[in-house]
Amino acid sequence: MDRRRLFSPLRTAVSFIALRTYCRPRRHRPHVSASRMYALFFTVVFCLLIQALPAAGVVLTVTAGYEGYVVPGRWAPLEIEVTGVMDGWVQITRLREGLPAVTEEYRCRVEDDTRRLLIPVFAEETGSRFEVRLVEDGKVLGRVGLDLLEKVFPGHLILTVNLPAQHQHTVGPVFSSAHGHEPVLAIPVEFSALPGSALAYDGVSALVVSGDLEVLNPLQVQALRTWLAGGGSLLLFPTQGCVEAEADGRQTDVWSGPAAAGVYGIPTGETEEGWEIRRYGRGRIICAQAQDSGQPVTTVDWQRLLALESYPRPLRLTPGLVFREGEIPRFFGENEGITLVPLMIVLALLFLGGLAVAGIFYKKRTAVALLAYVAVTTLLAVPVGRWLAGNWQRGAIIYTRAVLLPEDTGVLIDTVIRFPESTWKTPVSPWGATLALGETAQGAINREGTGETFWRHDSLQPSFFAKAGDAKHLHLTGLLPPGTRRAGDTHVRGKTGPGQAMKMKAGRKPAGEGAAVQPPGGLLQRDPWLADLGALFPGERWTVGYGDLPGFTLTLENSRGNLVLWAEPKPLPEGLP
Amino acid sequence: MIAVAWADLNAWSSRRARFSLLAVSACLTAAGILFRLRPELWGQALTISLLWVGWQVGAEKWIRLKSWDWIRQERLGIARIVAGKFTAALLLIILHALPALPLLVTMVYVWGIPWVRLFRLVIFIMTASWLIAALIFLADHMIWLGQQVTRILLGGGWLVLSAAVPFLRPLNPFIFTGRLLLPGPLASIVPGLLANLALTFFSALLLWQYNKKRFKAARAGAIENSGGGV
Repeated sequence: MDRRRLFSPLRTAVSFIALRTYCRPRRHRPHVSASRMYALFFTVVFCLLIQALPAAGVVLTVTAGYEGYVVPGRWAPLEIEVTGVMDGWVQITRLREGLPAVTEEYRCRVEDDTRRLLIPVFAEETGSRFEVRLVEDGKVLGRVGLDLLEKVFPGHLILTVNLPAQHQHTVGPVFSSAHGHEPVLAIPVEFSALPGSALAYDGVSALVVSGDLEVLNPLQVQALRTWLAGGGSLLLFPTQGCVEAEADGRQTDVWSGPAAAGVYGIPTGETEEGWEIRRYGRGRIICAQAQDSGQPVTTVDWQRLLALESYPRPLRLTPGLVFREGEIPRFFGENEGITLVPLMIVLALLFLGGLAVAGIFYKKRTAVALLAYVAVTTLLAVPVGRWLAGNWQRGAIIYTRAVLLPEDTGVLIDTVIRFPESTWKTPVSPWGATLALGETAQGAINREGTGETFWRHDSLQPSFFAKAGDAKHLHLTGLLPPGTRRAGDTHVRGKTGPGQAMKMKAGRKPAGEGAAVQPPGGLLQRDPWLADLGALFPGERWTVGYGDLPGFTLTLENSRGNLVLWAEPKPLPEGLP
Repeated sequence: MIAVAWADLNAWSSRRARFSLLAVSACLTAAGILFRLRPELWGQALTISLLWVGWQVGAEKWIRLKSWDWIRQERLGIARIVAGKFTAALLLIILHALPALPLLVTMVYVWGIPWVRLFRLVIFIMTASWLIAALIFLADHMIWLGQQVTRILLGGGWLVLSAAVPFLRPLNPFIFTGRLLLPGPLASIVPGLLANLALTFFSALLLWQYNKKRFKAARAGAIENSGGGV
């Protein structure tokens, strides 16, 4: 040992070890000490590697929305990229405070490659938190947490594909909130990044494409059609202009479905200042007649062409929230009287009973008598409250995933209605659990309302036929013909709804309502869920409430013993050509 | 402490029990009929009723030294007297909340409001009412301002202040009731509950300190001017 080192004033001053070593010199064995340290280090690293070994070969990457932006109250694409070798499931868990976690599973098999899943998720306005997990044989290979509130954009999200620089430049200053409109965010994407699911377009107000759509794969085309049919706006700059492209037949394949016929009787195509505007279902396609016809594009042009309405106005593929936060649902007018009078009588009797007890036991154990009276009436309040509530049938919580299917095959309605009490007669509370329809099967509607439940998807395609019902819940999936308005099967509703309501009846005839019109037989056949509704609750009176879907307001109510679905078309936004 | 609380309860039951119970029951029944037991509206009626009870409970005559004669005879300490008074106030508030129980249960079943919200509502309102009682206790000691004026300044001032200042709004019983009984995220009760209890405890400490000095002076022969209050 070199003792001279220990006499170094600096080392002596800063090192207690050195001082101790100076006072009690020992044999210096640097190699032994280092070996122990290295052994310990490698042991720790080895243990960590052992722990991380299952996930070493798999990389999970998750992005939500477009460049991370999501529009609140809309569906957003959740892009999950798995790189590596695995054979398991991708689990997406929606975490909600106070509600049971619902996990959806998607099959994921990757063989030494990269697999990309694009799954639409609903971005709730109050915030949505997700956890995405990769699971193989019960082992979690990786997990990623997502909070969709981090990059919300409450305005118009516009996707641009191959937009020339001059147009991209124009888009920026024109689409700003400074003009008194909704804020607009233009996000450039590639053709390959366009979603293959229509729901992923839900938060998109418009798609601006420069180029030919024939490069899209069939899934993308189908998603685009569905979105357009549901109210989307596509602004197209074909390479050779719209007229030439249509003459070649290249673009027409994209919108050649029945929805292109114009479900509302509006002319299929209009020409305006160098643009051809054609309807596709509820949406529209704006096509530049020539490659340079879009220049210059003014603010008014953009507003008119893309129909950027105020935020709630555009028709979207969006589920409706029946009981909005901070609001109490209104009552069905015809059902109020059933409960209000008994309620008043009960309350009055309660008060008078208390007075009577106080009077009878005046100056003689009054307190004890009153306490006993309160106890008895509190216990009696349970059956009385249930009885009153049973009479007082109100709306249920209904979340509807409604998608206007391409090729005019109808509106897919996937609905879950929850009855939180033990009997279907008990009205559903607006304070109850809120469910996003379609993402719940056995999930959030579990009886206990606790714990995590799973809903396994065997494929990415939704099942169009699943339906179930019991005393606790009702899960309906079916088709509603799109675009049906006042026709032979319509019925003007006078009392409980606006005059444009369409009444479709399933089950028995309405008692005392001779004016009700039976729907055509084909309609019932196309909507088996209406028939199933009656089969699930034969001969029962019930009100399941009212929901909302793009273009329609759905109302399901019993109407004194009759199972009735109201589909009330909404007026089209102003300014649509 | 128990003797003080028992004395207060006896005094209440022999003098004002019928009136206050009748008033609360009538108010809740009328509001129930008028508002169809709608939680967010009827809950405000319950809040008003229990705050009124707190106000009435706090408006004691214990500021007058002569009403403390028997207490002095019992040789009770000031701390026990204050604790007894506060205990009696809380018991009286709970007793006045009892007539609301059948209506609360009916409301739960008719409107489907979760029990957790109901429990939070009742607990919060009772602590808020207890705080009002404590503030009125304090106000009654500020005889130089006049008792009625001081009660309004302290009791009403707290309600106005907690409604006006944004960060105090979770403590305001009316705002909290509205938030709790409307559909939406479940409001946390912890800040309001802790604040109410802390302020009540602080009021009790103030009363204890003040009356300790006051009784010492009274024993020394000082004569108080009750300020013309109640």
